[in-house]
Amino acid sequence: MTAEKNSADGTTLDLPSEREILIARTFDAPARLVFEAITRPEHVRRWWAPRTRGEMLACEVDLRVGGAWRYVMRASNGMEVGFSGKFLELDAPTRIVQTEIFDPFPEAVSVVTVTLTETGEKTRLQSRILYPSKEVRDQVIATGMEHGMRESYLQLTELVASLR
Amino acid sequence: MFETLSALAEPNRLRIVELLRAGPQPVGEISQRLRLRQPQVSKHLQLLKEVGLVGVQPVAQQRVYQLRPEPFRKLHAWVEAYRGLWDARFDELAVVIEDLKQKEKENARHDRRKK
Repeated sequence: MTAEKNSADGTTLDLPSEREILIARTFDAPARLVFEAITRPEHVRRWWAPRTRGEMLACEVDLRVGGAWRYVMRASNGMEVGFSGKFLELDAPTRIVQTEIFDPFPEAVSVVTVTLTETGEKTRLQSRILYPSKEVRDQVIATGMEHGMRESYLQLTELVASLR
Repeated sequence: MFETLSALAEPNRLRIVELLRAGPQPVGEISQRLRLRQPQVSKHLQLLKEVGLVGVQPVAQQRVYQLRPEPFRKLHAWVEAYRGLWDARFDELAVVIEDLKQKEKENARHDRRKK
């Protein structure tokens, strides 16, 4: 199953198996710059909590095998959303394997594999998240949906305001 | 939503749903095309009906099954909203990457001037 935006550079989301989510997007830059943007905390702060969805409260990255990472954002609905984990494999600038734990479910450890494939001037980013169970995966999508709906309400509010 | 996903997670039920995309079918036809025993197909159809993925209509002596669009729309909206979160993130990541590219170009110019 694939959900896709009607543009060549849109983000795609696939559910390749019961326990996985695969998110992909192509960026107009060499892999080394994409790698820098997704691993250095000063850069991650700028994109992981999108402006329309919330603000970044914490972003710590100890980029070495066995090193820990932690991201916390305050979502637009006031809820704090925290993720953390450890780096299992690092192969700059093409591959990162890390564990990921969502704060409310400390027992549920997911494994995220990020691959960067450079072709010409572009780089394809693929993030494959393997959840410990189907239930955890579905819960994560459901949480994302709440944020998504919240955002559409905000956009609606803006639209209404602009019509005045 | 979880019911819809669980129902579709069983491979033979997913095959039945895929087959019904072509149009409504009676049980016998489904069973023949997928080479599954009819009682097994009936059991799967019963479950698909319970979660609202299929509807049934009597036509002559047969019970004809067809897909119902509503759960598929909900499923799509559900996945789409999560994709939207990542799309918003990646839109901003693209801006960060563009800044890094510009900075690199400026540094290269600066280095050339120094030489």
